[in-house]
Amino acid sequence: MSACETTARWHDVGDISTLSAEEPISTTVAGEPVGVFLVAGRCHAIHDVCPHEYVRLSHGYVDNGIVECPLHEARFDLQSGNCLGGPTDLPVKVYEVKVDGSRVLVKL
Amino acid sequence: MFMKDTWYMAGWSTEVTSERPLGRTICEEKVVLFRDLKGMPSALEDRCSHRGLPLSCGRMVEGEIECGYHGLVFNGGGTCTRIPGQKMIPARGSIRSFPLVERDGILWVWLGTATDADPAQIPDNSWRNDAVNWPHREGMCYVESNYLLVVDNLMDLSHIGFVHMKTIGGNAPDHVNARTRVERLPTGVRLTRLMLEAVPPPTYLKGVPFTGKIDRWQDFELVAPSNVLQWSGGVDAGAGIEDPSRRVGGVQVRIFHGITPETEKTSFYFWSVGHGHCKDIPAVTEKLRSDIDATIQEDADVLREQELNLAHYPESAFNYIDIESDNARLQARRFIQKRIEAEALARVEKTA
Repeated sequence: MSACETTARWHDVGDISTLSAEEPISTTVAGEPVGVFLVAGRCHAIHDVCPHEYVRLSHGYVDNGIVECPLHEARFDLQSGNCLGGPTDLPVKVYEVKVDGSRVLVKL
Repeated sequence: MFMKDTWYMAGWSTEVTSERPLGRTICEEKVVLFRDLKGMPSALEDRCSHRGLPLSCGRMVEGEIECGYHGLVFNGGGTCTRIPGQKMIPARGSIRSFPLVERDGILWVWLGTATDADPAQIPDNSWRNDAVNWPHREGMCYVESNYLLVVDNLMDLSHIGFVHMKTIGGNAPDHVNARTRVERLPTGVRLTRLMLEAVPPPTYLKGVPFTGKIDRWQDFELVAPSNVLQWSGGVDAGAGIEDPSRRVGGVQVRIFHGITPETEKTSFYFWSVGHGHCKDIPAVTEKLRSDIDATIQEDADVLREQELNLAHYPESAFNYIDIESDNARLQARRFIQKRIEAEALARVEKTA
């Protein structure tokens, strides 16, 4: 197990009421940009910067569990972080996410 | 490259009369505009069918246009009605006329397939018909750049603090903290910036005596390819301005930006600004007019230099970067490009 994983802990990133299918949470956790998306009632958290050119993916376009980068149309599966096409083939990191009461928590 | 199956602003209603013709190049097409004696406006190809002189070099005779070379006369439909010294008028004597619609004090021309010209697609500037509730002024700035650079400028507001430092770009912190949203629409792209709990800027306080913080919005709707409908303002904080129907009272400003390509390297930047506050104070209207006039000139100065430099260091050869604020700009560019490609494809299919 890496040092990173042993020190990982849950971080509160906001209230579930602020999250909608249209408006992801765009935040910074422990120095890392994190985007939290709501897809069909489930939360997904990813590293929120496109691996191609610097931009927040949470400012992009979500459709059917896929986020499209607002700049050059790279597409990422929100569940796996895998790149599905565009000017890069690098994936984005995904984080564990859970809802405790009304609070959204992300582990990293 | 231009979209042709779309409406472009050809000019203000006030520019076109039955006294003299107005020649204007739009998307590399030469067009002559005039009115008949009943005031009905027309747009024709600016070329006499006889020896090719621009008809705009001619004169108006009883609501028809007379060529300045050998006196051939054309009516608003482009039909040749007279050839001096000759009884017979050949059918080929007629010239092309373009669909033209006058609405909201604006003349809109359609350069593409005439049967597709649907006036329902004309951008809505109906506020310009209500001078009591929306006192307004208008103007035009000639820009020495491609029209897409002008659209870029309107779709990336992060330039305001730099290009417009001397005019409208004064209150940087609120602009930096603005919440930006970019929506894809069936007709283009909408860029919305919300500044909640903002300090009212001095220009707002002059018009409306806000006592506390305000919520501000800036809404830029691009109707492709190159018309932008702007609605900006501010109301007492907490009104819920995320919902456009809650943006009532306070400061209200509407600006129409009508960008019409002249050539690949030059554009007409028509603009009109109106206000929904201090409606009965002409000084407010005049101040807005002079502010917008100066602001757009600042843009034009930058765009001219950008056009020149992009000719020297073209985008095709130099790997320019895109930054976070390019979201709306890139959505707009892609939307316009897809429309241009779709038109080209449709034309190929029609001729096949």
